[in-house]
Amino acid sequence: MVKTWTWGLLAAGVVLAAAWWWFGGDRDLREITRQSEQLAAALHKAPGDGLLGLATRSHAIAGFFADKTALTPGEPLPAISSRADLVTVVATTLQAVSRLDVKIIDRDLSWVEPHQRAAMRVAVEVTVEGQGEHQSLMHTYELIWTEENGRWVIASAHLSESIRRPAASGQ
Amino acid sequence: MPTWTIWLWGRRPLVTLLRAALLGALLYLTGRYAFPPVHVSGLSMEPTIHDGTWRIGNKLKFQTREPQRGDLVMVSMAGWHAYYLKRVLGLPGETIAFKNGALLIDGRVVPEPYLAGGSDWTLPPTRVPAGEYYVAGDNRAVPLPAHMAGLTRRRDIAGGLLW
Repeated sequence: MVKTWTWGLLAAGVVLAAAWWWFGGDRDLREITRQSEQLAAALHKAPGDGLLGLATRSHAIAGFFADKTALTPGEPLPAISSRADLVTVVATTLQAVSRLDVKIIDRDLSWVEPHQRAAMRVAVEVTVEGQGEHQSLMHTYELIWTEENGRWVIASAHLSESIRRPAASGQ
Repeated sequence: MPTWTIWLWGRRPLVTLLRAALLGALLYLTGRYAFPPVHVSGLSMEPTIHDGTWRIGNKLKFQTREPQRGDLVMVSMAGWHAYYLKRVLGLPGETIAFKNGALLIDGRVVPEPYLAGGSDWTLPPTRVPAGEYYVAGDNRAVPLPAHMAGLTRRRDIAGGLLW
């Protein structure tokens, strides 16, 4: 009987540990993770998406960012410093490509200030089709999430590759 | 106990559950910290490593020695699922350059037998800082500006390839 109870407790412990690992953790961090997945999904563009839909989508995408945001998404996109500018850049980009897919491959997420600001390092695969060309690129971004009007939004996002081009001046 | 239940859970279900949990934990730890399965996405390492194939990483490879020229390395991106797969070309302190596709280290041409064809890569002499490596893919058909090649910190080299 004792042996059965011992094994039972051990098994229950393993199951609880697995459940905590899978479902537990910080609710705010889970929400930020969910928002990042939703942003990646919102950036999808399929061939034939209409102009009205793209305009609506551009505003929806901008909603994931803070009012005063600082973005350096990398070439060929310009640096962006406000949500209003972001709407224009997103709309122009979505119109310029026939297909766009952004897939999050992996991420690190931690608090900069607990429940105030969170830092996310995210690896994404971006697939772009347009003007007869198909490109699939992997990039890494550093994002700072902050809470604005009860919603977690991106205060800044910068391209942050672990492989960098050397300065043009050489030695 | 019905036969199918014994087949599924064994004669002692709790022991079976515990064994399964331990096996799962062992696989997780091995995959995360030692030999992660790597799904190759992209053409950067063609023709050595093909797009869409699976490889096994080796995070222990550079625990006992430093990366050498020609080594295939996994460069960290974010988390523990995503890596760039590249080849080490330039070591710390060396000067690397490309002239009409030829790799030059400290002014001398270094043969690259793993390449499939020529290229037009050109890079002015560039000093590799201490603690950093110059890495690039084997697919030199892609122009250098469009190729993810350059300097990476030693700490971003997460390992090599087991297979």
